[in-house]
Amino acid sequence: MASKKTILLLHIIKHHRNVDQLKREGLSYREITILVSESVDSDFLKYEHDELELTELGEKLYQENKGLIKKQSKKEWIQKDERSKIPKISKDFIFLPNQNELNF
Amino acid sequence: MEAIDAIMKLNKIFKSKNWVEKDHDEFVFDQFCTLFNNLEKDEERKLIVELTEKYSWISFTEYQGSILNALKLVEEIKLQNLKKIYFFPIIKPEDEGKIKSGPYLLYPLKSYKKFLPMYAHIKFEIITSFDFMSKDNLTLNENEKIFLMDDYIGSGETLKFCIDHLKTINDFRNQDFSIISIATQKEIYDSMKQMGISYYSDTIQNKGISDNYSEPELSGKISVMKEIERMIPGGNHFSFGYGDSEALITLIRTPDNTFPIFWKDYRKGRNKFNAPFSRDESVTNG
Repeated sequence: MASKKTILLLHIIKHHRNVDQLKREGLSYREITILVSESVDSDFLKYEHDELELTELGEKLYQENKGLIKKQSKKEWIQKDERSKIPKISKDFIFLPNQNELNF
Repeated sequence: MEAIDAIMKLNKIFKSKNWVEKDHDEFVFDQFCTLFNNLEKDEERKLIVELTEKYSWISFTEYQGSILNALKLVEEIKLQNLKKIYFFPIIKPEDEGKIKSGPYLLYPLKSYKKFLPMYAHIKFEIITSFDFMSKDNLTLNENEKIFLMDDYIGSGETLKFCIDHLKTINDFRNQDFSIISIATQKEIYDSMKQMGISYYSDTIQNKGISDNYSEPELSGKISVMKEIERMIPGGNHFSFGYGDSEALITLIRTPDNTFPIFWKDYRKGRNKFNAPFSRDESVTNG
């Protein structure tokens, strides 16, 4: 069973080659190189002429497991903007603006 | 070259140069990777990778071995006739007495003598003041020499000041001097040899870009580096390293002759980042 991080790595190599997503998963740069080396050793990636590419096995593994890195619900991929949240107001509440604070 | 490919190549370079054994290798590695991530273009990352392959990182623990290597380069035939060597640090007169790499290198010299059998018959005298070298205090005999020492010689500005001043205060000739260093730029090495001054260095460095590429590639690489240097606040002063040295070296500290992107902190947007071999004593986090 491939780990989520391995599938994310395959996704990165296949699509945009930007390591920020792996950094957000908490991996250090050194750990990223270890993950790449392990994926090369497992024949998921090939590293030739200083360039990384998915092998057939890697492609198959990615296609079978890419669901692992798909965010399931909006809650997971859109962060709440807590700073803009205000307390809930009851339907009987009447708002009386302070005359000094009005600018019209 | 995309960021992930540059990071893997860097990993290879660290292993092949044995930099993984160095102190702070993790910090340096991380700053390099962050730089790759911050660079916009593939050719910028490619240039940094190519220059890093040529980069020398000499730690404090390697100083003894490198100084011994440089001293062993002196031709035996020249040593046979010598009775005494005056070791003098490469410093400017106004820096006398300050803590500099030159005087610091001289201190353990006598203890190295046991590793240098070809010097066994020669007396080592360590001098740190210009006053002692003056005509009133020193008359150099035919079988005596002055070895000028420093860990790194870049533009050669300090070396020229030092030699000029020594010649002013005594009747020294060029052939009385030998220069010993751990590392040096080839330009100053060649110009001193042309003046008839013997020069021995464990590492001799070419200019990172000018001496390693030819046209039309050269102009392209120069433009790429200029583009990279735009990320460095106040980088103009040190563009391509002090005195256009284009050096690629870190010793105990990184000399300002090295391309500034390797040692001068840079900005991307509002964020400030540490250079891989930052000279700053405080460390910035992104």
